[in-house]
Amino acid sequence: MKKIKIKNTGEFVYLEKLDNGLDIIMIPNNKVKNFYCTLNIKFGSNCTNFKYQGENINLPKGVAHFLEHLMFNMPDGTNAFEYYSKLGSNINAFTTYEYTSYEVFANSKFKENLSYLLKYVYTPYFTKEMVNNEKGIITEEINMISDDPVSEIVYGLYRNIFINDERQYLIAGTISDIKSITLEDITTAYDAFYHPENMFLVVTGNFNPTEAVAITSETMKIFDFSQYNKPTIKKKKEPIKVQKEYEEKEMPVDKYKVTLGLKIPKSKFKNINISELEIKMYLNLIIRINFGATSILKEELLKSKIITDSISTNLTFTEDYFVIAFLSTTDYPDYFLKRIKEKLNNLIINEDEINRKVKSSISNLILSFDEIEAVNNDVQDDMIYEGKFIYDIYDYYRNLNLKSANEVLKKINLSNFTVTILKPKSDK
Amino acid sequence: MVYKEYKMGPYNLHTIKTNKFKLCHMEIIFRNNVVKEEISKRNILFDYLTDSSKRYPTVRETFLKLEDLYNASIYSVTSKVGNTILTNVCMDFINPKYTDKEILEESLKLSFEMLLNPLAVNEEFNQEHLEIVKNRNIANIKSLKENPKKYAITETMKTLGDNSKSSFTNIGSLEEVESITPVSLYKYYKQVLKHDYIDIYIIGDLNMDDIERIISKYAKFKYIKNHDIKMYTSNPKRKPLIKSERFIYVQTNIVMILNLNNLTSYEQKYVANLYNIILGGGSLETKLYKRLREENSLCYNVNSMYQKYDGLIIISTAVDINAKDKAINLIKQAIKDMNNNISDEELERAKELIVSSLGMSMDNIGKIVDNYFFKNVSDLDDYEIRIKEFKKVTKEEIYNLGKKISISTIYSLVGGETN
Repeated sequence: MKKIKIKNTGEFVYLEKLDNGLDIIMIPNNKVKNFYCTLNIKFGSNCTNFKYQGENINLPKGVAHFLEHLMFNMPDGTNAFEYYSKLGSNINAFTTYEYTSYEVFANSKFKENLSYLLKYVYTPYFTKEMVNNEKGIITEEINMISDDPVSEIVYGLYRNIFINDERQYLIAGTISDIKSITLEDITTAYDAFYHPENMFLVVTGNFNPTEAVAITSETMKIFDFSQYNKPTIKKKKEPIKVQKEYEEKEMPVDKYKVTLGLKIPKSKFKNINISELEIKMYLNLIIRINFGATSILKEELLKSKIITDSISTNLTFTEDYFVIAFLSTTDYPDYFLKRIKEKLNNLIINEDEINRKVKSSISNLILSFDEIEAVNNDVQDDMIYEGKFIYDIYDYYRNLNLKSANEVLKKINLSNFTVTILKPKSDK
Repeated sequence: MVYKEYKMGPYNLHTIKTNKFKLCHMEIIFRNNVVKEEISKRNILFDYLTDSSKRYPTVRETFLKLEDLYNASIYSVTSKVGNTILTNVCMDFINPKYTDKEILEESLKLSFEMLLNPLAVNEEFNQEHLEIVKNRNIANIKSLKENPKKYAITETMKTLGDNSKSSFTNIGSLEEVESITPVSLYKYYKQVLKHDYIDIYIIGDLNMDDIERIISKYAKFKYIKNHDIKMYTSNPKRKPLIKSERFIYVQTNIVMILNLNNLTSYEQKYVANLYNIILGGGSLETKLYKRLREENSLCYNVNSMYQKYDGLIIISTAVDINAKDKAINLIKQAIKDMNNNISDEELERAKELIVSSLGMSMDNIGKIVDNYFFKNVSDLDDYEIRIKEFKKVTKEEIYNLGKKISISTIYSLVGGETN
């Protein structure tokens, strides 16, 4: 087991890889009583077309999320909710575009909690009846999302920005996708992706890393993992253009909800001699400075009553693109968009602002270790998007500088963007 | 964890020393009996005070100062708890040992400066800044319908009637917000300083003697209060009121209010909590969850919340329009089960869950403050006593409580729009 100091935080990360291929990342905090374990599978909603054991597979949308719903059932008729409620533990699971995560949060019986997490996730038990019963529940989950304007606008943005990328579809799928999912789809997905080599375990909070590794390897001994034949994911090349430049939709909202999404090819940053992680950090910095809480633009739009609160911003990325989204609520969608576009054509950055943001990022980094859920989620993000836990992120922050920031800034422009607007719908 | 209380006259200071967190957290808690017409003013007032001050007159300047303090944050939360209204003005900042010593006094000073030296001239708040705050609050009130569950619960609470303190919404009303002027708000500000009880809680790995010195230097509150504040309120038992409204949602939201009539203090503190956990407030093994989701695949979410100080349990779910009646019947069956059909396992699970949740709350900086606060101003028992009492609760006590429960409202916010 490797023990590595997480720079400038006073914390350590412990790394282990089991013979069966499972990566374990552990950050203990013995000042708190709780612990939080997450078992993560590198299988999310954007993975429906792949070649597995010589066969071309094309799953319906929403299978990763559907499988997550069914995973809690055990062959003896019990389920994980029953087991964990006896321990008084909290459990949950979620699916993203990129991965699925099963979690347990508790403050006693560490061994039972961790061991059962591994047991139920590595015990596939699905029946036709379960698949059919779950369809009604997931349908209501999709309907719940349909009634939520924020989800609608975020999904709308992805729908309009991507042409081939599977992020254009709902993580849960549509109701007709759900209707078409079969028991065979579920077992195929499980067999192809739920293998320790395609998974990682993250443990944070009050526990002993040596004990955690011992519990994990002992528990996993009962399972017979064959050699992993990793599926080959089939992805169509994503064009530079956006799917749709403009879309309006009516929903029961009081004011317009407006989002502008920029699609920037990663290839544009090739000539700058910095890593992709640093490019993401610079993009975040530039967005915060120009559109965030301390930005002059936000102050101007608030004072002129164009917006009533903040400009939400978000940076996401795919294999080939960065997507930067700007979202706000307004009575004046055209003016809001005009000012966002003008700002995007006149981005600014200076040494003082960089230092100020770096200072607050370092403070956030130190404080994130107070919350065992937050630090666990940060590790998950690193594992999915960076391929490893970034224990020296402090150095990256310290090295951010004006020269590189300006080089990144010059690559941001309005060549490819999409606008999605939710318009107030009257109930008359 | 070392707790200490200092009686400072116009306010009480409570220090909680612990090395659990790298964060330091201060809450300045204003407390009074709730008055319906003042809820909007209160929201606007504390919003105004926490994003501007005489020294930092704009939101931007306030945020820049907070960034200088290593991304400190100041915010307020106003909540109605039974018969009282509470406003917690919170300041979060990193422990100075990870940055520089100066930020401790600077952060504390900033919080009091914002409360006691606001952006005002001649007893009038600044019109331009007040407009920003009012617009934000108006947008919040108007956007309530964007969250069907929250909207349905708010509408259901209103069915309790104008005289019920439980029917007052935290969010305030449009008419009241619109009528607020720089002068009227300043008058209310003076009233709050004069009549609200003030408690200051600070938690972190800090030298609390230093803290007491710094806070007494800046917390220049003047008035000593001695009026009564009641936490509990109640609602009369009545024949169930059935109300249905239509709105352009896909799902149909159902909310049910249960009235808890004439409970003893022990029942309020312990038995009702366990009743709620078994019914719908706990894990995914509750009676409501099993009936609606597991056995009938009707919903994604169904839960119940115990409002101790209002003597109510609120049940909420969202289903397809065609499943509305079935869902209401299943909820009624689950409530009926609570009168005579609880297994030993269900009771034990509920106890495990509550003991475990209490333990979990001790790792949460805000919940630690809440625990001390409610122990000091209400009837919350010590952590150890609570665990002992919860473990003692029997099925018979829960069945007896069931007999004191009546349905007060069944509300449906009917959707049925196509996807």
